[in-house]
Amino acid sequence: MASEAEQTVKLVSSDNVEIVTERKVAERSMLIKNMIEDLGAPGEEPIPIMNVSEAVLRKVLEWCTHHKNDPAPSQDDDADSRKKTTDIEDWDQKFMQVDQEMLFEIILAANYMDIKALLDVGCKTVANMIKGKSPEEIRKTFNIQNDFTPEEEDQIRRENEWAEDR
Amino acid sequence: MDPLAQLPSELILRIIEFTPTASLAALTRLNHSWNSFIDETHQEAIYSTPGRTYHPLGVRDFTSLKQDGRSFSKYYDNITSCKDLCRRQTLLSKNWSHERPLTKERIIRVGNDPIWRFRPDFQRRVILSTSHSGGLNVSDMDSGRLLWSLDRDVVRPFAHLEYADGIACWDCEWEGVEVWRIGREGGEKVKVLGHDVMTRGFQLSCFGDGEGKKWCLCVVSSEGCGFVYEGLRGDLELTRRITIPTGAVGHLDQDESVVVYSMGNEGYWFYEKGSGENLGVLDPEQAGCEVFFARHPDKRPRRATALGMQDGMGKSARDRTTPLTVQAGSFPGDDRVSLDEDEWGAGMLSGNLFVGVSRGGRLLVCPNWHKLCAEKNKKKNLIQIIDCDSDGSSFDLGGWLSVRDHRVMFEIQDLIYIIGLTDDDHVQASNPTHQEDEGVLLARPSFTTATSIKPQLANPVSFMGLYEDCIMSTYTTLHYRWRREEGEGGAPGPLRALNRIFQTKAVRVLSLAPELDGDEEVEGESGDGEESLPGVDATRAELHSLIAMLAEGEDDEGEDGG
Repeated sequence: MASEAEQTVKLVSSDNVEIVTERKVAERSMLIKNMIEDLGAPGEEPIPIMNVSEAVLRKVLEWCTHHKNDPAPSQDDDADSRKKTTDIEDWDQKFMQVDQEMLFEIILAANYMDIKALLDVGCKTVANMIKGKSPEEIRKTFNIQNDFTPEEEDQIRRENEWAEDR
Repeated sequence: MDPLAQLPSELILRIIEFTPTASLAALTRLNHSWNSFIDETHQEAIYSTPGRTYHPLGVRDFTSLKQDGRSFSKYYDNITSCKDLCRRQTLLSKNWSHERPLTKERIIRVGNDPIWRFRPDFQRRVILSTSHSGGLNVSDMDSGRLLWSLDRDVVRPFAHLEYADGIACWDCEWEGVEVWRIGREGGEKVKVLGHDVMTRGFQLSCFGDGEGKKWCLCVVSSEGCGFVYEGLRGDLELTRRITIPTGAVGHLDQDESVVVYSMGNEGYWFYEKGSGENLGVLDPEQAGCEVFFARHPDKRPRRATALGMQDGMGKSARDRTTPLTVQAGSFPGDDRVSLDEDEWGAGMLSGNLFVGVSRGGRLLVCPNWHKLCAEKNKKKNLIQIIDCDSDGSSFDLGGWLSVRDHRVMFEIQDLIYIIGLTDDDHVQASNPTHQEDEGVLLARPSFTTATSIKPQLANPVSFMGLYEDCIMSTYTTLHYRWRREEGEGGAPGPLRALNRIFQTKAVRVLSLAPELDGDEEVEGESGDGEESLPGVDATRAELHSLIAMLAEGEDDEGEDGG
């Protein structure tokens, strides 16, 4: 039997494409890790990743490959990342330079596949698109329609003035 | 693409957790859906996350905040929601972080005698104080009225006072410490802790909460030993005798497991309270320090011209503090006391942070004393020092110190310095021209405030403290004795100033709590029988001439608040 490092697993995307990858890479996903443990005999049964299309799954696996040797997340890491720092390491920042549709797809996939570190990178990326921006700039960024009357918006602005930076 | 349309609520909430509170204000203004998501459907969830508001997670009952009693101004009364709490905490922390915070001032005088030590209890709303002429006074924090007192036969003149959550300690004779249970209505003696050597200093703290709440009194003697007394409900028993070098100067501090003694020239010595084991020595001379300096500001902060009345809170102003600049490098000139000759006084622990002050006017900041002890002083740059313009005058009492929320407070000449640190408790040079770099931690602004009505009257501060919404210290002022005249038919008549002005020490409260509009504070209500005083202008004129006399013709900066 192959050693765990060389083992491969077969994943099937929502649009029915089979992708073979290293077990270690796939196991960045807690969903897959748990399935492999439940199924036993890795590599033989294809694992369906129901909610994720081929394009997104390949992108997610690209992230997992880069991070395959990261230490496993512990309870402490969880508490740490709760700190509101939005620092993202360089590689991840480049990785996240995708269109908004793909960005949201990655976030959804990371959530479904239970890859906490990737989910955080995705959420931080969106948070950084919001940070330091005026409402108008945020609307422009995400193409959001303003349905407030000027009076309504002004009232909400006054109610929340305390939170503004200056 | 609108994230709100693309992602489920739980993921939107996760994204929001990574955005600063200022962005929440922007998001609520995007459109109706964002507004109702943040301000209606998920308001409590969003504003109760740690980092947004600091209170135990899941706490929905805001009365518990009120009861934890941390604020002078009752800043947390009548909180309606987590968002409201976030708003109050944001406004307060913005004021603390302002270059020139907006402050209100209150002078609380206790009797006619100068205050020596005092301690506030924000929960019971009392201030305990000892005085130059003896006795213990318990005053109402809000009205300033004396509630009850013990006389000078019970509490000696210049008694050191320690207090933690209903338990007070003072030194009776040289060889003992009295422990009392204190309430608003009165107090009872719990016990006298005697030890066979002379008491040089002691510190009382309270740890834990509820039934498991434990008081711990650490006593130090200059004859080479320390004592640890612990107990529930203030019932203190000796749990450990610690052998230390002789020559402790009397200043000490503790956390739950460690006690640290000031050894003057020899720095600070850390011991484990349970085992008595020496954990390490912080000796700046050995450790190698990063050096900063701060010049005494030319511009002096505004001072209260208290007339000895129990004034309500004064009007808000920004000139009760002046900005203080911290610069990198050693103090220009070579008339400084050298580091190896300097003598260390008060020192305090606050989590990983340890701070201390010296006779030579140095503030020592050790952002992580655990690390320093582990490295046995071998690693450089675990200590930062700020050299200040000290004439040594304020150090005669060993120097007072307070540390809280990444700020350190101590006294230099006639001013109180409040040095702002970074989030990880480091000193940083103030540089008004710097660019705000991402990821670089900025130090909170530093500032100074007054210790007396006139610099010439400055007397060393004998107690000071940083609290949630205020700065408290002893404050040298002049007092005019008042006498009530008898009116017609025995009714109380107007107050008349007796012809006697004397110097005394009161408690000064500098409140940083911002005004919450719509949450009106009714002024004058706490005034407690305050009335407009006849002939007060004449009195002020007299006071000013006396001050002018005492000031020996020094240039008046036109700073009479009146």
